[in-house]
Amino acid sequence: MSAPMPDSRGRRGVESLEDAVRTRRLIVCVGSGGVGKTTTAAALGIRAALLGRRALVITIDPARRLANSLGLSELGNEEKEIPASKFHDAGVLARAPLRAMMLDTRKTFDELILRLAPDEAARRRILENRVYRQLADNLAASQEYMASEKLWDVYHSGAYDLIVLDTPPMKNALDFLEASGRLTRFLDDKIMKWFLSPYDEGRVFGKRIVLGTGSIVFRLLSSIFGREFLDELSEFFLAFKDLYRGFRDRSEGVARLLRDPATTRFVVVCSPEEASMDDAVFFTGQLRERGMPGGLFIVNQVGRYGEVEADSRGHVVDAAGRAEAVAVAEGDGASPAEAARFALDLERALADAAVRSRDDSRRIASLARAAGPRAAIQEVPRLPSEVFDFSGLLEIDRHLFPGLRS
Amino acid sequence: MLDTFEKRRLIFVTGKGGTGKSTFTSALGLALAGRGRSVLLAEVDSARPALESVFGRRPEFQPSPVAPGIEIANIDFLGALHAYLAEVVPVERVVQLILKNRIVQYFLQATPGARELVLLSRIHALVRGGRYDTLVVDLPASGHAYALFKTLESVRRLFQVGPLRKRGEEISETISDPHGTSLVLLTIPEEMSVNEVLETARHIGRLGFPPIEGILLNRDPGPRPSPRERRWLQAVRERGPRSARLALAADALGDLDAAAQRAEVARRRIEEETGRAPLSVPLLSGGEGLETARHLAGWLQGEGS
Repeated sequence: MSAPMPDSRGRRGVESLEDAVRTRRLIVCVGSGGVGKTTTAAALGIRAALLGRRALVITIDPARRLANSLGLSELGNEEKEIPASKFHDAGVLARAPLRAMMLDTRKTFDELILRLAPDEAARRRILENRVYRQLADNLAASQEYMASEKLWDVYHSGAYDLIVLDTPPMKNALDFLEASGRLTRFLDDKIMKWFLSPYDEGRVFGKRIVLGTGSIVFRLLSSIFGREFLDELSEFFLAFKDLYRGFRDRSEGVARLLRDPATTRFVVVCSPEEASMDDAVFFTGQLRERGMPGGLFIVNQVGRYGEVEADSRGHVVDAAGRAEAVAVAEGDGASPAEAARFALDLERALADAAVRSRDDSRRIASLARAAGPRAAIQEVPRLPSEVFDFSGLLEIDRHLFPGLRS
Repeated sequence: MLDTFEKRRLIFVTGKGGTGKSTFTSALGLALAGRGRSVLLAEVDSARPALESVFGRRPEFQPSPVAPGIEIANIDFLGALHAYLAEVVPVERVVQLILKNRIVQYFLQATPGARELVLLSRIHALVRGGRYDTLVVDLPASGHAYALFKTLESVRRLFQVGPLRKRGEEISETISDPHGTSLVLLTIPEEMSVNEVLETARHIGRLGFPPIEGILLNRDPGPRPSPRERRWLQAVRERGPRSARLALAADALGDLDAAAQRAEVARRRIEEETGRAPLSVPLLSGGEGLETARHLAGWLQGEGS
């Protein structure tokens, strides 16, 4: 299972996207915003289902875009099965069920507490704590913690052969990768002890002031947050005390999962725009640094007019073609001037598109150099219309896996 | 539009990733500076500051000049924390001590919301500091931008008293001021991007701040080809032209028409849902980075007069 198969082009030792979808258990899609990351994640999930692997697509993007493209009216914290009719109507056969979900931070957090809390009293104490309620629900960073929680859950549920995880745009994806480690460090016993010992001993947190080494830190923290909040927070930590081990085990588990090359592949999704390409290169470095298995790239929205060059007189459409366009227009009532204008508009559209397409090729070539010889880059052409339905996803699938039939 | 922006002291720009936020932010800065305003363009805790690719200089925490009347900065968390502590703790040596303290670091990193509040504090301080006429903030993609503002509401509920409560209120006041502060929502003519911008507008509306100046439809390719041209295009495609190049050109013009049609739909949807038409920003050709930003600034100056 861990030995990569030759990819569709037959390059040995290079894992292709197809290998990853066939053999891995977790695919994490990362990349900058607006490059079709969510759509790509959905397309990978569809491919897995077509190949007979039970797949789940998880999006943690706050913009909730996945449901639209999968034809579900909405996605929530529950895994929802894509109706078999979707596949059937599109003329393809899902050999295994495909499910999708959108991470709901608050619900995931609550479920976690329900599972980890030792008894009803502990559970209530946490769920009713003001700090908890705010943290679980409103604040941005909780989302990343909860993403790894959910990931751990569904991974161990045994219900899926492959999980495809969509991530927030680049900068937040980094947060996501860090989140489990950050939480683990935070739950470091010594740190927790520092926060909790006054309560354990039945004292108020404020007494820290007279308690030696901790006192300066306490004063400083209260200068930032105010003492009232520190007291609230200590109470929150205390309520959480029995859950730490479970929390820590899970976040360490997720950190291991993300680094296990036998299980996981990161797919960097980008568009040929310069900023997105820069991000892709940057992210490749970040993955390497963190020891996370990468090497797979999907470049969306690639122009397909790159081979068009102007002739010596500056024309991108030959004389016969221009005459044909003029004839068509004049045959439909155009004046000679209007027909000439039409031919000109056609040429201008193609010339502009060709310039942009060549820029795309140039940037993809430099991405390939930066990614190294063991990388597999799959291009998806810019599609004439935006993808937000199932047949659009299947079209992407055809470009992602040119060697496979639906 | 520029006339309105000229009156603001704080302008936030957000939208789905890839909608051209940084280019627009830079263009707005260039246009305002062109009118003699002193402008600071800032990103918020960006691991990969996009302003660097526009101005060829990496924005640091401390603002640095990049063009006449324009400085850029990246308000990173540690820098903002340092500045925040320096306000409450007068002795630099003590500030250093706090910043280096392991417990404090873990505490701040793992306490969700602490980060957002410290960052907003810095934005607030820059506005209040009065060194710049206008601060334009290039925010992260809309979901996280919304979370940043929502932090203020959480702070209000979480802290009944204390320094954070007070700070939160001061920031809220600045950010809610309809005369001083604007939020610009940027979208491109694609359905998902429009969905996101409308959702953000609803969320921000419910939150009550910051005041939404408007939705900008960026990279609007303009009107579709005339109905007659479209009919001819259709005819060319249907007959399957003998010239392969003509067939390609027909595809390219078809793409252009499809893009223009998407823009039409986007304009209509935004107007229906918000009651206001978006302001269209044209699709400008030519390069990336500063060149495009200058084009766009020129357009803003022309459009506003």
